[in-house]
Amino acid sequence: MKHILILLSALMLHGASAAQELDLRIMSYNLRFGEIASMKQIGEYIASQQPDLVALQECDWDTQRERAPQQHHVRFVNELGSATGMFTAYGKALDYKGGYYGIGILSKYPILRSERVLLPQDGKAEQRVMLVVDVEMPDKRIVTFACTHLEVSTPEARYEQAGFINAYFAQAPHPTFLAGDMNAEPDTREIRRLTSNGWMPLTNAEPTYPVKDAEIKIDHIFYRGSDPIRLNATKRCTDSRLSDHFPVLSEVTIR
Amino acid sequence: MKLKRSFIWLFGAVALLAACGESSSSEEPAPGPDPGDGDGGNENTEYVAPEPPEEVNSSNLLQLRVLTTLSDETLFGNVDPADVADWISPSTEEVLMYLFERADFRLGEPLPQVEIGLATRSFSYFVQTEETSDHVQGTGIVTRNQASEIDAVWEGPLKISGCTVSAPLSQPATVTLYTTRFDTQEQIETLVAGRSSQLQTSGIVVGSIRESIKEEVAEWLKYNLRNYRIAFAGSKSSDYDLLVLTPVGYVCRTIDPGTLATLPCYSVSIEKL
Repeated sequence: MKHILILLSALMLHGASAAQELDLRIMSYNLRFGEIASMKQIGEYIASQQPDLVALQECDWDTQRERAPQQHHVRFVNELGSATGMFTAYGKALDYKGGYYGIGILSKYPILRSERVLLPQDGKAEQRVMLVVDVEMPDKRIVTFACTHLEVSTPEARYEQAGFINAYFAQAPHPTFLAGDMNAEPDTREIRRLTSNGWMPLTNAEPTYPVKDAEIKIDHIFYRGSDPIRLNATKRCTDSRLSDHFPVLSEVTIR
Repeated sequence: MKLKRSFIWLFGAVALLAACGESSSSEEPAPGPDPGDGDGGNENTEYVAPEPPEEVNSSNLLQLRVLTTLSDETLFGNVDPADVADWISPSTEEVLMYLFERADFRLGEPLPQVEIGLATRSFSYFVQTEETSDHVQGTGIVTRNQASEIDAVWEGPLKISGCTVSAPLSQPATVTLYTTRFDTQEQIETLVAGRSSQLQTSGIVVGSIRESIKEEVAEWLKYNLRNYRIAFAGSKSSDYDLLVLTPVGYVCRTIDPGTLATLPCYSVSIEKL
């Protein structure tokens, strides 16, 4: 009888603990504006990974980009939302070739709130943005998810943008994930500016770019928040060669 | 046009007439506090919106289409969203936003507004009106105008979101179009407490309200919000009425019932004064 009680107690404790845990699969993927693969192919790949949240970079909306004629007039996030059955958000960075160039987010759950944030830039560089969404998860916890694509030209510009991101999220009320193409390797001043400000890396150091003979790791996922998190697994998805970047995928549990 | 205007004024006037009937001292519109005071107004003073100009400025109209059964039923039922998309594609240019109330979703199934957005080459959004689970009720939104921001109030009984868009008027205006379904007065009270400033300046609510509470809500608003206009539309047999709540700088000119594909659809026009 004593053993049964102990077993029941253990099961109840396990149940209580499990009820407070949230498992998430988070992906970041630079699409290379669809130059290499169709949105159908990319959508099918994303769906096969069963992510909860996806950060997308180099997303076109109704452009006529010369290097990707097969994507003329395609609205990337619409195609990917339909292919994956996920909710979409889009953040324009630039007007480009009759449409927009920017970043996007896919979410398995509805998006409560979203904001497109302009990142600081010097006069010559192209405008960069961050797309921020709040999503209520099935355990009723609201999670903030941000996607960005930092400046490519100089580390100084990225350093400024990293500082801006830190300030933007200084008072963030919810557990927050930041994912994207940071155009910076892990041991750089600009990435250290994030990690020294509480952003916990959720990816490993394996190179993500270019797909052919990958040399550098510039695609990242970070977490910051008071809810404890456990990184269960992370990978660069080398089975996907639909862009010039490998997607990165992390599986986490938030308590 | 006259018929349409009569329709909306029939409902819109209810609140105003009720206001006049219950207050012998409000011949003139009561001056309200400045927008943004955040306190929802002086509870002791009844607010009556000034009469809008009789002449409609057609170049300053926001055109919306609200597809709703005004009931507890889901909108699409057996109707394929792709069929709806076929109907709305040609007219999307002139319509700022399509709202699909009770475009509920189930995890793993296609999302109606995403499919319609894909087919009509438009942006899609979803305003959930209950907590996240495998099945969520809410309103799908399809628009050609990218929302620069989605605002949300997710507090107590109220779950509401709004798309901030630049409205293509003769003088472009940035408006936040909120939508939700109101089942209790507490939801309205929470909205006013949290978004009083927006409701008096640039926040427009187009949603539905349980028919049985609309008069109480209209009455409550008179004493707790300023610089607004309200209009209702529906039928006596419907569980819900359509609600259009605008800042006083806007006026709902028409709420015209009809159908789109085979679904009930209200054509709503709101003028920026």
